[in-house]
Amino acid sequence: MIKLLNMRSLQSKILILFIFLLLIVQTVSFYLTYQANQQLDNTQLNNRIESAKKLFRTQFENRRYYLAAFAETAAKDYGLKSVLNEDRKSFLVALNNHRKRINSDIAIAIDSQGEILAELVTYLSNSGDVKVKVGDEQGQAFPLPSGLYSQEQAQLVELSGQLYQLGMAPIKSGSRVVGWLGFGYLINTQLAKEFAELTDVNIAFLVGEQSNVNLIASSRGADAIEDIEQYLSVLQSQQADYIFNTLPLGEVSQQPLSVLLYQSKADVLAQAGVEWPQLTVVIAMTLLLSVTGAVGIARSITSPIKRLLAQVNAITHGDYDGAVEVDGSIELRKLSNEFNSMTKAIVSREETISFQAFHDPLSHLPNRNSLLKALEARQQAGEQFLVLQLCVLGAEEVKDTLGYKVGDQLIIEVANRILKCNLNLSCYHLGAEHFVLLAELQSIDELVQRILSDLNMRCQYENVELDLQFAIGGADSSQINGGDASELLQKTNVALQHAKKEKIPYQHYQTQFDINAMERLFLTNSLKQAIELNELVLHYQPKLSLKNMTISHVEALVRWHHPDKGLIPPDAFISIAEKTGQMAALTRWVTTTAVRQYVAWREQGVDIKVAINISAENIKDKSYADFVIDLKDQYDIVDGAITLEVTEDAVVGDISTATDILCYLREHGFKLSIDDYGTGYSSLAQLKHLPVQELKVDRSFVQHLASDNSDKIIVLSTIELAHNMGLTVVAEGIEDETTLKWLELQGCELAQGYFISRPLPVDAFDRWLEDTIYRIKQYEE
Amino acid sequence: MFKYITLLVLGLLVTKVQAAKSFEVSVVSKDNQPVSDMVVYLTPKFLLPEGVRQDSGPNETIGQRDKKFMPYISVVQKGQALHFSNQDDITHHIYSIGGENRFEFKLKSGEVKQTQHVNSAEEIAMGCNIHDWMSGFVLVVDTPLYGKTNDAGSISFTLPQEGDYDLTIWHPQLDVEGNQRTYSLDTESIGAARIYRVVLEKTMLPIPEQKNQEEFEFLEEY
Repeated sequence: MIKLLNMRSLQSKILILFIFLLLIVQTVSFYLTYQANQQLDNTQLNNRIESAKKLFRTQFENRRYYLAAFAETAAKDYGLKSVLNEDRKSFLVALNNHRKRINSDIAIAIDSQGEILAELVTYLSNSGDVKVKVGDEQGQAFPLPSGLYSQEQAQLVELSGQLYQLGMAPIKSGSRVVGWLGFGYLINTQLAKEFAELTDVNIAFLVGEQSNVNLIASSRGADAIEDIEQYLSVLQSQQADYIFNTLPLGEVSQQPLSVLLYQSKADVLAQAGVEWPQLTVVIAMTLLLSVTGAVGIARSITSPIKRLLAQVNAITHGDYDGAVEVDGSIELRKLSNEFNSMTKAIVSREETISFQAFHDPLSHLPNRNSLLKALEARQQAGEQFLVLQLCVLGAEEVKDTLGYKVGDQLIIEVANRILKCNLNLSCYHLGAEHFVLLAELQSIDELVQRILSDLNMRCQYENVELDLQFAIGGADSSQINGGDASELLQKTNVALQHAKKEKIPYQHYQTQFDINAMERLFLTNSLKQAIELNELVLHYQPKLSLKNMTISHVEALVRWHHPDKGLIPPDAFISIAEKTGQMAALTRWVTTTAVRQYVAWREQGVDIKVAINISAENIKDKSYADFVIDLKDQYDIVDGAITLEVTEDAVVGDISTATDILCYLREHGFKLSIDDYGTGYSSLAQLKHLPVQELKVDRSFVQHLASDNSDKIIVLSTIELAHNMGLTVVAEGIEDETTLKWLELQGCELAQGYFISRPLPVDAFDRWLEDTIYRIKQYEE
Repeated sequence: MFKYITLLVLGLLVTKVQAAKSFEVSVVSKDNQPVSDMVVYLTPKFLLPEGVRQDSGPNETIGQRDKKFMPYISVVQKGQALHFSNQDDITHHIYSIGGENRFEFKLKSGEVKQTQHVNSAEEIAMGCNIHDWMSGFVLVVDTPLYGKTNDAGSISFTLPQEGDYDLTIWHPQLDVEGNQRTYSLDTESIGAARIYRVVLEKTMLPIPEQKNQEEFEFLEEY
């Protein structure tokens, strides 16, 4: 029931609508029935009064006729006639003989002068018998004028205090009227009762006109007085508790006599009231049936909806199996059909989505998500297996040079080839040029060999022959180190990177790879912190001017004093700084620190110029250049005092921008040097446009210079080339005196290396300066 | 007939004493039509001589013919008897129930009947108890000077002497109180024509037809 009363539910809305409509219909129908009943009652009542009136009129008229006819008969009776003028007693006896025949209440004879010759009236004796006596008016004048006797109307006359209806007839002698004979009945309560019984309505005889009436007799006896009052009030106000009708009967003493026929409506309604309980029961039954029907209809409408709702819930929870069958209306069936097809569409779309989620859109091979699942499954099954990560080398270049389409074709081709090689491999595509193969534990070298032999076929695309190269990193399930299966994937990646780096086709994962990688990760996270916490320091390596054997320059080299790991060499973190975009901050710190050191030495009177390594980042835009120029101005540093060393590779990346920035720096008095010259791919043609003043020959050419002639040739030709282009030359990596002497002999301007000094922190460097055999360049006094 | 002779004789007698005077009464309706069968009688306001007080002559016989009283109206002087003659082939039961001169008798076919003397000057309304429609009147007057108007509506009297008279006209259908009118007159001043002209103010009531009103025509065949 509480459920039913939920106003917001469709079912209760339908129910309420039904009940509401039902109530309206019932009210209207009840009202109409009631009205019709009322009208019927009134009509019936009126009809009853009307027919009672007709009946009364007929009966009353019949009595009059009966009386008149009898009077006429009696008046013609010669026996009576002949004693009319004989002695009174005889006539009275004869008259009474006639009276008895019709049992009239009065018998009267009047002479032609209007005098009452004889009057006989009945009365109730004390013993209750009806007896006859001579009336009071005998010998007096008859109250009616003689002209009225013979009228057809009832003759109404009041005699001896009683009202009579008389029938009269003339007594004739030949044609001469010699007198009148009359017989009559009383108009009294008994008569009223007789008529009431006959007509079934209340009867009252009234004398008077309109509101000024007197009650003569009534069928209701004394109660009639109230009825008459009611009647009078009805005459005045049309209240309708009673239905009335009157019939004029004639005149008594110049007053109209009428009969009032009436009936109380209350009586009729009291009869009708018997039907009320029945009507109530009928209404209640109808209401009950209708409500039951309404509940049924509401349920039949809402139950399919509820089933649909349940199905929606099931789908929400991922259960697509159930189909809804609704046996309701056409609309609902249509809805359920649509609903079922919607479910199918959702299932199909979800399958597509799920396929896409677990497959690579390009190769349609299972993707990394699938791989992780598969790895997990294998791990949980306790299987021993191999994981190989395969990378298509040069795929990136193919894409760059031949377009994405060819790149994609290439990847698809590779995927197809992997699928075709019948080596019992599970193949996954991580995306781009990376694939992962899962295999049973077996001889790895043999497997790799077979894979590569299957894959290493030439690939032809639109007349372009592509020679596919691959690198593979592998790991096996025994190498899982407490982590989950995805750890293996990471390990193969590390192995792959290693293989790529070493340019070998296959590398199996080794634990130290991972340690390096972990360290690198660690450094990445703490380098930024290191700069902020001043964990970085600069070491300075002196450069010897070979011309006068004077320490005139120094190269600032950054070192990381890690609180836990001690001194970390620059190779370990510079490349990380470059990759993680921290190079700008690092270089600025180095630059600032080096410049301040230069200024410090200058204040000590030591004229040692400082060289700072800058990276490719620093010459991509003017921001670093402006920064270092500001610094130079700030400390009022002379031109040429600061050398900025740039590697060949840094310059080669975007040579025009690099050239612009370098020119800008040179204009502001910086000396520019090409670092690690000889290791890069820079061409001399490019170099000749660079505004550099110095070449720094890479240590790889210098370290073995004393014993390696080809190195000597390279260095010598480099020095000659540099000098011819107006550049000075710095040789680094000098580890013995022979090399130093040789370089001095060849005209190399500056020398740098462990032979002179290893890089030193500033205080050690200062002490070295005091102890060194070389001269120190001083500011001239 | 006898009556005229008597009058003649009487006239001769009166002439002996005083010259008998003729006198004529003419009754006309208001539209000047003669009214017949109107009873007219003169009552002298003086004492008549003994000889002319009583008309002892034979009376007109009241016949019953075709179930009618014939004549319808008769007039007799007080103290005379009424003569009835049943000329029908059936019996009549003749009665008069009003007044002092009440009688009733049955008269078989062909019979005659003489009643007792009528001693009360009044109207006698007669009927037949068998034939309800039959109606006849006899006016009993207390004067010898009486008669009915003839078809011309006139009646002649031979007055025993001039003087003051009450002239009375009577008819059952005369539409006035008592069915009669009385005029006082002095015969000496009525002019040389000796005609007293009575003009009725009202139309006479219709004389009831002495005929069976019922549908029982078979009675006629008896």
